[in-house]
Amino acid sequence: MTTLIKLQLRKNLLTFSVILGAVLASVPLALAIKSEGMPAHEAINLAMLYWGLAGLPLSALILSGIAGSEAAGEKARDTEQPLPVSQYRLLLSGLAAALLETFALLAVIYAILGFKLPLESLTGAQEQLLRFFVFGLSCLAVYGFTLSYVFRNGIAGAALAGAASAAILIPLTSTAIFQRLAFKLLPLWLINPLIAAAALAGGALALKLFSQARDRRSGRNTALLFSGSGLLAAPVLAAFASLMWLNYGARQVTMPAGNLFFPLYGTDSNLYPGREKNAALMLAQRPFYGEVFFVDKDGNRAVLERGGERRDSGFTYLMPDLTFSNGQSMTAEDGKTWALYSVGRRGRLAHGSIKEGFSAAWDIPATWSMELLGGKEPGILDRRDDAYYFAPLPPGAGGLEWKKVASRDAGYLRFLGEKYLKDGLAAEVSKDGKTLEHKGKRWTLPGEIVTRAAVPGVRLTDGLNFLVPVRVKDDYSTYLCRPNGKSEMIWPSYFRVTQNLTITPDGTVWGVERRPLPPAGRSPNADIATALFYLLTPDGKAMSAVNTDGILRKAGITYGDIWPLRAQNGYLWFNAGNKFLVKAEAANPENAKFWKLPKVVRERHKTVSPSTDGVFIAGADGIYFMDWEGGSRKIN
Amino acid sequence: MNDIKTAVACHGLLKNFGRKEVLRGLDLAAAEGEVIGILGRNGSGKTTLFKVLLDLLAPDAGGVSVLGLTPDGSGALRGLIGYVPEKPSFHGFMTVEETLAFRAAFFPGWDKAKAAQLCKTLELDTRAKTGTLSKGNTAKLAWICAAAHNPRLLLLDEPTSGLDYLVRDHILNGLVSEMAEGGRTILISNHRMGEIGGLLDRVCVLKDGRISADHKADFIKTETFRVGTRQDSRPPEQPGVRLLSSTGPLCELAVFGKAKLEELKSSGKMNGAEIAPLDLDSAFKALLGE
Repeated sequence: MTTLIKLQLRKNLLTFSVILGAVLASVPLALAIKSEGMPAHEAINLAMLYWGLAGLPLSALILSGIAGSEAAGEKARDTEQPLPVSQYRLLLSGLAAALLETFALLAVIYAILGFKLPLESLTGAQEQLLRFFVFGLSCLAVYGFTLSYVFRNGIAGAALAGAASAAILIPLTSTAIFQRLAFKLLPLWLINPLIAAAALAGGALALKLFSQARDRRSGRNTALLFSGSGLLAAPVLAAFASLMWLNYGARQVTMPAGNLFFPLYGTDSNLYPGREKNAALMLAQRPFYGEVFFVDKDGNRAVLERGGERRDSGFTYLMPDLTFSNGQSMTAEDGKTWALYSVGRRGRLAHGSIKEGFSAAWDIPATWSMELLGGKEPGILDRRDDAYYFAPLPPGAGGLEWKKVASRDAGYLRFLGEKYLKDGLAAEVSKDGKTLEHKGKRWTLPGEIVTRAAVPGVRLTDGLNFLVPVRVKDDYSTYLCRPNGKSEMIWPSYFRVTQNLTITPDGTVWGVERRPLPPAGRSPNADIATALFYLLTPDGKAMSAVNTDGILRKAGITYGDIWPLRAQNGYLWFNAGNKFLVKAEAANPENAKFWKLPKVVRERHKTVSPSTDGVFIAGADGIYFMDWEGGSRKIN
Repeated sequence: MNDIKTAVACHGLLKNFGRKEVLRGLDLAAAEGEVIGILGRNGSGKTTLFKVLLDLLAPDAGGVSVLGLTPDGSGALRGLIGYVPEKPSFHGFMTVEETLAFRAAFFPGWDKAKAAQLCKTLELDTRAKTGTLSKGNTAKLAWICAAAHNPRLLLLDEPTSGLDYLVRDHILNGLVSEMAEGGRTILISNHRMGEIGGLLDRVCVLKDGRISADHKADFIKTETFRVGTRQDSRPPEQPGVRLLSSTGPLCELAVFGKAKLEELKSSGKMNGAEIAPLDLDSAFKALLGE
């Protein structure tokens, strides 16, 4: 084979030398025509960039096209075929020579670049293109040789090879870039190597079939030509099938239409007494279809935005079109829900219910700075450049009526505090910070209350309670002021300002302390964290420093990714890393049951979203609902 | 007879190129050491037959065995065969010496000394580029390439086509004779079969994709006759009798076999005919029309 390859290299020597000469000549040429002020190495880099992006692929086509058509010619047939080697082996030697020459040129270009890429940092798309570059060159050479051999014409073969390689590479690159940007919908680690192998090995195998048909003139010519063409077409079809699969998968992606970021000051996760317990709903979206909808635990849906295949841009096949939605919702005591969301650049406010649908809708310029607020006077708070504005709900006949409520300097907390107080759901801290007062009741704390802002209450079974951070000497702890006028320390040496505590749908209040694990017995990786929870159950039972290390270990989760979902009857429920629903004994969290959650599309805020009856899970293929005993069903 | 090994055997060989049937159930057998002339008109399938035997073309149907091997597309068979094509071709950028060295890499039995000696005998300049060689010298090189690995089977496809007398003589009376005497099997197709008639053991006529006639060479040499007779006493067309020429009331016939000649004589239709032995060229010409 070596002798044959040497022969083929010698046959192509002139063409190769001309191209190599052009590569080398482009260095002084680049230096000669560069603009003043451009460093010499940049001019050379630009010239080599041209070679990398255009010159080298073209060279691969020229070299393989000439070699392939020559191999099919009478001269090669008369001169080489009488040798005692198979005709296929002769062709393979020609193909190997074309590949060697292509990669020799690549090596020369790389050497001129100083064996490093001229780009300091690569974007995601560039990285993917670079990853496919070597494969692309190989593909051009294999297809160029094979097709030029079949058609006995270098130009026709090279043109077809260029088209075929593009038809393989464009969907492959598109799929890889999209998957990198968005969701791991396809096992590309398996698919892409398979397609690459099918293209290269299939091209070489097709050459064998074509050789049997063309050279040996086997009687099964039609079958051989058909099979060979199939082998060449298979990677193209597979690449497009992969892209179709991705498109289909992308359109099925369902995820919460929650805020991209945790809400700044709203009802969503903050402790706020005016927040009615949200109905068991998930505001969800199919971002690559543009659909936004509510779904309840029984799978009933109410569509807010229908979406569709054609939205902002017409051609979305190569890169699924993203029409992302951010949203929030708030359900009032009448069971009607307000939804404030954006779809693409449009903002919408909708009102209704799953049962009756969401017919009323108002267009809103932008929603990203807005927050729904509940309480006696529900409304929308908007942070604008000049000030904070509030519009009550429902909107008037002329739409939302915005009223400036606070300057940017004063901040929104004062407005919120005033609103809480007006609603009768917050307590006031005395100026000296010693006492807390609410509707005539007064609690005297053993130390100084750290905050002076209004303290929103927490509605427990015995009424409205208040959690306050108190400093006693040099220690900060959390005290609970109960409706009976008494106060008690519930979380020693732990506090958060009230707005930084979280309440679950069942009314459990919690705060967390995440800290790196000591290295003993575990990996010394500093990122590994444990989570200690401070909880107050709806019936007023407080728990301090609940250690979830055992749960994390059993779940195989190392980064402290665990969140409380519910506390009931001596048990605690957790979402462990969006992978498990965990039910643990409150007294001994290590004694726990684990239920595997469906695979989620990506770890995002609210991907696993609790309600009073269970958790909504935005799975890769739809929405699931899992009850508190691990019973799971797909609801969308 | 059973002691004689078969070097080439074809049974019912079929080969079509598209709708064109080139070989149509060809049967042929050659014993080891036998020299067979394949006689056929242009396009009769001689080259196709050789390419099938060389494992360059796959037959559509039928069985082929060459030197005990079945052609399988691997090309291994060609290592045992010496092949001189009608139009030899070499890489023009190589010298004769490089060409021989290149070929030597593929044939385990390549005899460098023999190749060098043949170059000398045939007066071939080994430093010359093959692209600059005359037709005769190209043919010489083809002969050397075919002979240097001491093949067990020689396939010679119009091996003297376009060669001048001296070169033909060199090749036919030197090289081929030597190889034939060395016990090698030779299949040779040549338009001028007369010039090699002395070497042949057998002559097979390839017509319409089949072997239409198969005669021992001695038979052609000793039992073919030219019969000059009158048109009115000309016997009807029949196997073993071919019209060679016809002028006015006279005509010339070729008669194959003493028995056929006696049969015609005894029929009384050839009274007064002139009977003489037929020269080889005329005999082969007549065979083509047989």
